Amino acid sequence: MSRPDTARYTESHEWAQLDGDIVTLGITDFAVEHLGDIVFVDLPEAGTELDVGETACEIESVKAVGEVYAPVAGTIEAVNEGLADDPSTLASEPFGGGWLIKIRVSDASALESLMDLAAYEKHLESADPG
Amino acid sequence: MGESLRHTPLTAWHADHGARMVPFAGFSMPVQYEAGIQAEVKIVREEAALFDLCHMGRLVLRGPDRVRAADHVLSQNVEEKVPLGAIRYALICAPDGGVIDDVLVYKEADAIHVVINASGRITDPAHFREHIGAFDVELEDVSDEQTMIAIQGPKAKDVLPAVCDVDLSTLKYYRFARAHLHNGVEVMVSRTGYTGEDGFELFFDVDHAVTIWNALVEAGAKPCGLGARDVCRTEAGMPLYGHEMNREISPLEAGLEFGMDLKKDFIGADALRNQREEGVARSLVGLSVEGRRVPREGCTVMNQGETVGIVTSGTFSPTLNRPIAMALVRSDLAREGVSLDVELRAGKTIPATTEGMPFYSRKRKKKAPGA
Repeated sequence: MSRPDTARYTESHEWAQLDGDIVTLGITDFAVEHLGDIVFVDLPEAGTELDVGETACEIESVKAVGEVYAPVAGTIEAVNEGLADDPSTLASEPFGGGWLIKIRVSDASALESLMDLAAYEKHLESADPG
Repeated sequence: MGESLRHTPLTAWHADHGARMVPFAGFSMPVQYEAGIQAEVKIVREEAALFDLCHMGRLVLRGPDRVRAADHVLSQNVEEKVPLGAIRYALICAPDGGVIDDVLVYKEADAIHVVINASGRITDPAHFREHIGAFDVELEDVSDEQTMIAIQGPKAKDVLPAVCDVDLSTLKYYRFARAHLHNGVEVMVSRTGYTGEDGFELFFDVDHAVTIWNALVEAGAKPCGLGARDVCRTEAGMPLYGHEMNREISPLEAGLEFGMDLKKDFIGADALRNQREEGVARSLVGLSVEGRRVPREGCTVMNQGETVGIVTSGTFSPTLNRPIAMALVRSDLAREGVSLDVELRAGKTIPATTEGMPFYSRKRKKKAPGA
């Protein structure tokens, strides 16, 4: 599982990849492992406005629910519809086919306060693996 | 991290075999192995699953007044309703009828065994000691001297003979027997479990825990964690102490009349008789939902915008391939087919319908809520 070094990372284990004014948002392999068997991804609708820190989508595993927070404000441009029917891609390719939503941002500078890969991997070392 | 967790004799084995360890009632316990909870639930339902239950407590009452002492503390009628060699579900209640713990009581010719929850390992023996002083009885806590493991699933009966000489043809459901392990060590075997499947629980000397565990694995039993056990008990509609009942949720609210004899006297009986007379304000129901969002413990249950209850346990059921939940709701709504709403989080509500329990049964028919 290779974590992209072009993405930015949050303490709550989201990754965000900027391309032009579109941010693709997903969760990391660590988050996937922590959730356990993922049975459903509850995706928002395209067109929804998100504030920083707002719940962007929710991921149900057998024993827990995980909330995915928007690290940037913007409008949801697209959602990964395929995950609603088959969430297994999220577990197998969290940084690729398992992306969650694409957010059109007016100000991408909020991403700069997030961690880069090196900082995130340091964060993981201190994280509770339970 | 940092708190000191107790280990069972098998904790190191779990950690060495890929288990994800979590703190549970002060013990370091496996929540799942590498296969994951869904795969482990399937093992319980289709094969033979192995569970480490050493964290649970075992108390033994001996002496001339052992049955009277048990009947004073426990809700079940041990004297009249529990035959020798049989096991019954019972509650330990406070004088106000609140539940201190739920237990299984085993009646043997010269002893009464009480299997308690891990969370009750301090409180339960203390409660017994406080209330049995007037009886000629001795209470022994053998929790740390005994291994307790469960083998659960349709193939449990095929695996057990590999380690134990118990006669399965005479060991019926909710009965127990003395036997020997293949190394000659004495074992108490009960046909019980907390999964909704056929299965056994074994009690034997703590020094043999790893040997017997390995022999069972060798014979085809597959280690499973507490995550799968909790999912299985929820599918089977079985209550869990601290969730479906506690000091504030009475056994009548939780639908546990089958574990009580209100015709006899025990601590809490008066309060419970009054409650039964007056009727309870809340009752436990099953909930089903459309879709795959899961009502989780603590979610508010609403009816036409009004708060009417709370979810006590909720999980995705791998066996049924849908979410299931238990909730305590206003008693007038505790009927089958009532439309309710569950608030997953602030601002997010999904429709739910009351449903009879168990959600899953290997043979029994469902019971309607409130029945």
